[in-house]
Formats: sequence, C-alpha cells, structure tokens
Amino acid sequence: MNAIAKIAPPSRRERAIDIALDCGRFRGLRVADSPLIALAGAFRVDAADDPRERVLQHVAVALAADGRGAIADALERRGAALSLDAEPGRIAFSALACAEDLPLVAEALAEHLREPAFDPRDLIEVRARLAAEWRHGASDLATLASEALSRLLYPRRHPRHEADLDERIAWLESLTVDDVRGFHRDRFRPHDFRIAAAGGVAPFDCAAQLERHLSGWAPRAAPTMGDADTLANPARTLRLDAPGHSSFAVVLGVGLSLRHDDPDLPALWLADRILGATYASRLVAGVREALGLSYSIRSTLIEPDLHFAGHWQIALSASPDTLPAAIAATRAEIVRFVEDGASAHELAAKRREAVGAYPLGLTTLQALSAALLRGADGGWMTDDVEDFAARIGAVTPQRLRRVVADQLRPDALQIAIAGPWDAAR
Amino acid sequence: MPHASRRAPIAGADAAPPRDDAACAHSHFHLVRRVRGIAEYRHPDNALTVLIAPMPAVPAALLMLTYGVGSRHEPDGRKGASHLLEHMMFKGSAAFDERDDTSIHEVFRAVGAQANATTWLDRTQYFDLVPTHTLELAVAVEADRMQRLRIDADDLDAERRVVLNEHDQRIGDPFERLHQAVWRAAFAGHPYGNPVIGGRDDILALRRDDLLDHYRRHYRPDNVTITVFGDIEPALTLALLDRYFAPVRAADVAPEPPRAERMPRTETRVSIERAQATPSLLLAYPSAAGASRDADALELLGLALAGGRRSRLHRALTTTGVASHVWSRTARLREAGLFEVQAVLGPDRAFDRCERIVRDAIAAIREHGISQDELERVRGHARGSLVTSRDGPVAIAMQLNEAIAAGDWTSCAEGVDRIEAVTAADVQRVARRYLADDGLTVGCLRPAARRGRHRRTDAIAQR
Repeated sequence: MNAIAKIAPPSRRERAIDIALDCGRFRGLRVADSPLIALAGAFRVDAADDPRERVLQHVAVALAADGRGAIADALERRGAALSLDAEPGRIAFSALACAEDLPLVAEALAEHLREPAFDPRDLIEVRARLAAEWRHGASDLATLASEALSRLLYPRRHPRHEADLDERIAWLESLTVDDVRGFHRDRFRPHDFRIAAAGGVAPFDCAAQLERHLSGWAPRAAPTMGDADTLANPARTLRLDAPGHSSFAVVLGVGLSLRHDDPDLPALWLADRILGATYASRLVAGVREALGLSYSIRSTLIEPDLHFAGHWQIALSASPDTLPAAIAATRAEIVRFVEDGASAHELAAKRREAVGAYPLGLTTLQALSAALLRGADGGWMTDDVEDFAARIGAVTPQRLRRVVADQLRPDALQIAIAGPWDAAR
Repeated sequence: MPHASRRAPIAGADAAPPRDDAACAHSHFHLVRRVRGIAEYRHPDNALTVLIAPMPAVPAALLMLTYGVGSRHEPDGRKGASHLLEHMMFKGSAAFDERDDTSIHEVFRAVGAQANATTWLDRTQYFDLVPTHTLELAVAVEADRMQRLRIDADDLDAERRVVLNEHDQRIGDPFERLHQAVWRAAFAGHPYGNPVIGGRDDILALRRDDLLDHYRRHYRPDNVTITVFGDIEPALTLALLDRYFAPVRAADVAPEPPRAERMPRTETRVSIERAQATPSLLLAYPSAAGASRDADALELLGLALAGGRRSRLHRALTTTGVASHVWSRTARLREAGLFEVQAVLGPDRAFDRCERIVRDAIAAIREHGISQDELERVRGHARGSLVTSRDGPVAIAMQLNEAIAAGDWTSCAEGVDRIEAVTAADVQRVARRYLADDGLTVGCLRPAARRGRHRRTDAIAQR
C-alpha cells in the first residue's frame, strides 16, 4: 500500500513568515507555482452591549465593501473577490484573486477599510439586500433553530445573541448613512489587526504591497468588550412553528465554561470530533447510519475566543414521523459519551484521523490563509503538522472524559426545534 | 492582454507526444491526449478512461470517479434510483463491510481521508481526498465497490429513511420548490424535468432488486472516468489503477438512456405559494448543450445581464429597489439545459415590472448585442472568476466532473481559452437563438397569506 508514497515528490510549500506592519502583523506563505493569492484578516471592534449596534456593524461592513468607484470596477473586471464580514467583536475580511492582481486587491482593501464612500443611494440598496437575505435565511429551519438557540444560551448584550428577525429588520430600516459613517469613523481601526496571505507571491512582496496602502492607519481608543458569559438558565425546549416545511431542524446546545487559552481545549476539540464533527463519528454512525433517523447530523464547537464564551451544539434534521426517535437517539449518544468517555483505542484512532486530515484541510489557498490567521491568533505556525500532532497527542482518555463531563452536561442542554408543528398535530 | 497566470494550465505543462509518454511505461494504459496539464489515458481491455494531473504543491491526492449515470437514465418506476444507490455505495462491498469491521467510513477514518458523493441529472460522482501515501486504499475501495456491492435489506431500510429525510428537508427550501416547478414545466416529458432525488413515493417504491439492476447496468469501467489529482507520480498511479481496474470487465452492450420527448416551444408559466417564502421570479430559456461553444457565449451573456454591480439587471433592478438580488446561471448538461435569470423581489413585490425589465434587457441584447467594452468587462470577470474558482484539487475536480458529464472534459481544461474566444457577435447570436419568448418558462414564488411568522408555539421545561 506504500508504493505511491515512496516516489511522491516533496511538497513545494515553504515555511510561513511573520512580518510586522505599521498597523499590525502579517503572516505569509508562498506556494510555488500557484497563480492565485488568498488573503484573510481581521481586526477588533467594540462588542457593543446594544444589539442594535451589531446590526449597524453588519450595515457598515456591507456598505464599506459595496464600492461604486474605479477600484471596485477594476476588481469586477478582473474577477477578483474581496469581502468583509461582521463577526462577534471583530470585522473579518478575505480575498481571492490572481496573483498579479494583488496590488489592485491591496488598494481596494485599504479603500474598504479606510475611506469607503458611503453613498446614501447604496444604503437603500444594502438595506433591501440585507433584509431579503435575513428573511430568506429565516426560511431555513437550521438557521431559525440556531438563532433561537443563541437566545437561549446568551444574554441579549452578548455578541453571539441573535436578535429576533423582526427586531433586526426594524433596526435596519431605522439606520441613516450618518450612523454608518460614525460607526466606521470610530470602529474601523487597526486594533489587533492581523492579515495572512497564501499563494504565488513572496511574503515580503505581499507585505510591502499591503503596507503601501495601510501605512498610517492608526488605532483610536481600545474597544470595549461587554458581557462575555453565557446564561445559566434551566434547560428548556423551544418549539418554533414554520408552516410549509416537511421536515424539522433540531439544535441542542450548552454553554462552555472554558476560555480561549484553556489547556483543555485540545481535548474538547477531539471530543467534538468523536461525538459528531466528522462523518466518521458517533452521532453519524449511530443516529444516521445505523438507525436512519436523520439525513444531516453534526456537532460543532463554537469555540471561545479572547473575549467571549462559546458553546457546543448538536444540529440534526428529522422527518415528522421520526422526530421523537431522532431526538431520543441523539440524547442517548450524548449521555453515553458523558458517562463512558472514549476508550484509549477510540481516542488513538481519532487522533490518527485528525493528524491525517490536517494537511487535507489545507489543500486550498483560502483554507491555508484562514489557518495562518488562526495560527497567528493562537500563537503557533500553521504549517507545522508535528506541532499539531503534539498538541492533540497530549490528550488522555481520562482528560477527555473529564472535559466531556464538565462541558457537555445533558441536563443543561437547551433545545430549539423548528418545523411544521401545527401541521404535525 | 491577459496575464500569464490567467492562461496557466490546471497542472503542469503539455509536453510529450502520445507515443513517447513515459507515464504508461508500467501499465497497459495508452495516452489519448494531453490538454492544459491534464493527461487522458484509456485502458485497451475495458475502455476505462483516466485523467491524471500532478499538482506537487497539493499535500494530498484526490481520486474521483464520474459514472455516466444520473436521474436522466432512470426509467419509470425507478425514479430516484441513482441517488439512493449512491447512498448504498457507502454501506459495504465484498472487501469493505462494517460487518467485518472494515466499513468504508472506518477505513477512511483511520487515515483521515474525506470521502463523499453526489448525484445529478447526467452523472454520479464519488470523490476521495486522501493523504498521498494512502491513495492505494482509495483505489481499492472504489474498485471493490464498482464490482462487488453488497445491499443488505436492513441497511436499505435505514438508508431509505435517511434519503426520505433528505427529500423532506430539500423541498422545504422555497427556492428549491420554485426550481423544481420550473424545470418540471420546461422539461415536460423529458427526464431533466424530474427531481434528481425522486419523489417520496418513488423513494418508497424502490426495491433492492431495482437498485442492483441499476448498479449492474451502469457501474462499469466503460461508463466511468477516473480522475487523479495531487502530489502524485503519474506512472505509478497508472500502474496502481491498472492493477485494480484492469480485471473489471466492460459491459457487452452499453445501455441507452430512456428516450426523451422534445421540450414544448410555447411560453409556460408556473406559480407556487409558500408560507414565509421570499418572493422570487425565475425566467428559464432552453439553452445549449453544456460542452458546446454556445454555452460559453451564454455564460458571458449571463454576466452582462446579472454578473456584478455593473451588469444591466443590477442597475435596472437593484438600484431601483425592484429587486434586492439578481443572478443568472447556465445549466451545462449533456443535452440542452436551461439559461436562467432569477431575481428576489423588493418590498413592493412588483412581479410584473420585474419580469418586464428582465425581458426588455434580454430583448435589447437580442436586438443590439453588447458593446466591445461590455464584452471586455464580462470576459475579464469570467476569466478571473474561473481561475480563482480553481483553488485546490476538490474545486477543480468538481468543475471537471461536470465537464465529463457534459461529454467533453477539455471544455473545463480549456475554459479560459474558450472564454477568450467569445465575441460580441457570439453573444448576440446566442441571445437570438436561445432566448426566445416562445420557449420561455416563467416561475413565480409568492409568499402565502401570513398566518404568523415562525410563531414560538411553546417553551417547555425539560424533565
């Protein structure tokens, strides 16, 4: 089985390089022969206590990226993609372009971040677009259930709390272009600014292009970070009626008490893979493959970051005739995991799987740049698979079991179920 | 003038003429052609086609099998068989079976591989992204399940429930409902009008013997194209494929797809109502076969209409508030597919106005064509988008998969050149030829009367 391995040529990837920029940090990785360049970056903004501010953040991001000028026109003519995203407590951005278009992308990025036009005509268009996207998103049962879960898990002031759709639309419609300009003036500042690049451009050349356009961009007062914790509510099941559907979406979730730098995080990450984060996991094997009770079932860690708590969620779909059985089987798997943990054999197999899958997750430039950015946040070099193996190699069955028992807590699971309840009665 | 990277091959370079191809030295394959860094080989014994593209910078190998069977090949009584069979292909074969602790998921899990599959109108696709040194494992799995699939009755019952849930989930999406309604009307009497997954009754009616018969008819080396990308050495990869697939016999007679009726040539309208649906309008015109040059011109026409902020319909619909979103797509299939323009209506839900604006914009191109500057803009957009969309082996494989299914994989490999070759006259010609009102299907998705949106029915304490 090793014939191919013996002659596979060595990878042409190089090592990542860290470079200081005037306004933050750059991490770059050259991939030989690639005709493309991918960028990923982020900076911190206030995680405002007022959930209306988060709607304002969405609008500011959408408007900043919605240029009408010559640079935006040039980007479109080149087929280059540049996008900004509003995330809890930060603004993220990413780009994918032909390598020779990097100067244009750097210029466009700087324009988006530093001096967008904020044309009032664009505000009308962006408001309509966001409202339609949010309304359409609400027709997706999984989105509906996940947003409801966020309201069960997080206080209203928490940036992971998703306000009700009607509230968000009302706030959206009340915003003016001056609100957006004010938000941009105060918040679009390089606080903890990091940018990563992967592709066919040498890191120093890439950093020089970015520096040329971002130099002189200065921070203001440090962002405030608001309420970071999850709620400690008693477990509840919330049912949302969504007429016209033929299926249900179920989301079970529990707040995590770990912080972003907790030494137990690698154990939690492995536990998530054992439970349901991959296709070869207990939930998929038990609830889907063996019992046929759900088409899509998956667990996800919403990991805590520097400032905010996260949560662990399990999402599944179920048809009306199998809904109770699907939820019961899911809960049974969770309880079994909490009570028994994982054997040394299962843990070792999952570790091998994770190490094998690690480079497979880095086969695109977009994934590489995103991983470089995560590595910069976490303080490790992303291209080092040995480091990764060592991090997860330290997890023992005992530690994993303790972390699962501490964090998963079946009795504390909040549940949101969206589907055709009225029709099912 | 396009830059060098925009014309770059997908992998490597085109070099040696067929007879001198060193990659065939350790196998019975012979080189058919080499286009833009992808080499095509064929096995003389069973007509197996293989595409190989070394990508040294990719730290993995991707193995993909594109079978020439999809929902188009399903006779009455077997609707949904291709898709249900695709699910059953993960349940076990002679050498890889969970009853022997060698299930496909487990053996792939042991090495961290990613394996998945998709079914569409013309084809069924399996792909495995694996660490390069485990490529042989993926080849062994695919060769075994091509020949010796096991379908256990209990497994089939469980998987049927999974597929029923997939079906239920899918038809809950209002846009999917609109899409199905439009395709059903546009392809009345043609298998492209049937949903790939089948209807609920179809899925319930499929028997084990139906699936096995479908499997035996279509899962053959002469009805599949195997693609291998990544950090691989071509000669040893071909030797590996030769060892595992050469013993598999081709069919004596290749089955033909069921005969299809011609599409109607009259304007058709469909309207569906769904609670909480985002109002949307879809105009669909019969288009060109996917591998044809006309489909390239239709792609650029679609960008002129609805590709980005400078496009005609963006300016006419979204900046005026008639619609919040507008986009186009060209379904590139084996036979003629559909050219679609879809808009999400603004708060006024002005269906008639929106439809008139779209039809006027298309009529204007039919009558006046597009300017050279507009052509340059959409050509640059298409070229750049195509190149950047090829980020990694999986993305490239997905594009190649559709080109294989459409009947000519080189249309993917030469995609950039083909975009360059489209002229303004081509765009006007295809607008006149395909976007005629008498073949149009118009679909409207309207929200049903409001009964209370997403009402929270109750919140109950647990236990």
